[in-house]
Amino acid sequence: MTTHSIVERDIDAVLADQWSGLAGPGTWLRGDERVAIAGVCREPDRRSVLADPMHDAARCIAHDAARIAATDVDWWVSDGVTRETYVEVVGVASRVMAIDSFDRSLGQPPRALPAPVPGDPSGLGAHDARRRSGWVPTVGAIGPPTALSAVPAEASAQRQLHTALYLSYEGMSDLDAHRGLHRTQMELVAARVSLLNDCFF
Amino acid sequence: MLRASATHTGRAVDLFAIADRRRDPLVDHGHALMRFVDAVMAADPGELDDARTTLEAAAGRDAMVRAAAVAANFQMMNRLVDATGVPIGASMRSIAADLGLDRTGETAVPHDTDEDTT
Repeated sequence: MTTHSIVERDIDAVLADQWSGLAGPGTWLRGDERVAIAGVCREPDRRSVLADPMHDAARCIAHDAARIAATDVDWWVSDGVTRETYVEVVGVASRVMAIDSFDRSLGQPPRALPAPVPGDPSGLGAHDARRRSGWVPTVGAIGPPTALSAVPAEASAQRQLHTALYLSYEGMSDLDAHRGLHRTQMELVAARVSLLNDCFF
Repeated sequence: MLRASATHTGRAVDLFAIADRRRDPLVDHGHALMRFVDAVMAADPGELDDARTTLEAAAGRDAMVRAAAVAANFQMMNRLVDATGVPIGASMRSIAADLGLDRTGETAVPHDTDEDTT
């Protein structure tokens, strides 16, 4: 039996909360739609366009994010996915990929998809979000901390996961941080992952 | 951030090792960390088991778990920034160019502007 470290227990608690939260009604999507997106992310990438534009977007985010262009987002929008809904899809898909990566890293099987929780989406988007230099509306200038800000619930979930797995945005200013690894070691991991994902960040 | 952290704490780091596995990153347990990340990304169960065991033996369980967590975080953040068109800042572009990684033109990399597209 594996003895879980304190670091692992803290992360596990957040991941369990996040995983169950995926199944509830979101801001623009129902619980069953969010769980379906999680399922699409887990399907092997066949590099073929999916009929449902929301699922096609999720597939690209999960398997081919570095090659998404503004024209792809425009295409999904023209096919009926609002930019605000797309932001929620980005949030759900990117968190599913993170949680699955963590479990795989520790040799654990993927979590079972949660049962959808009935209910209507809240519709509580950020009314002051608008497009600037990115492809989605944001509150303020677009950057990693604000990319999901048009959908506050997704931005909050992303921030919580970021804090549990890595550092809080505020804590990122501590270049000498130590959380199981020293900050320099954490950044080496981050840089290599980003390189292998073809991502400049 | 890797360069910033290393500079801030007076630690040596070879940034070129990020792209060239033959080089020593000059970071504590750097080789074991890089091997672990590569195994996670390749989703090769056998290699991942070995890499995990090696890293945990060398650096401890908390270190291995945090490496898994940081990798997971950047699986999320890479997708988030790529899918929403977060612009690449000039400093990031400069570092990428220094490392021979600036592949602008191969992919749609948005440049950093303050243009309001509303």
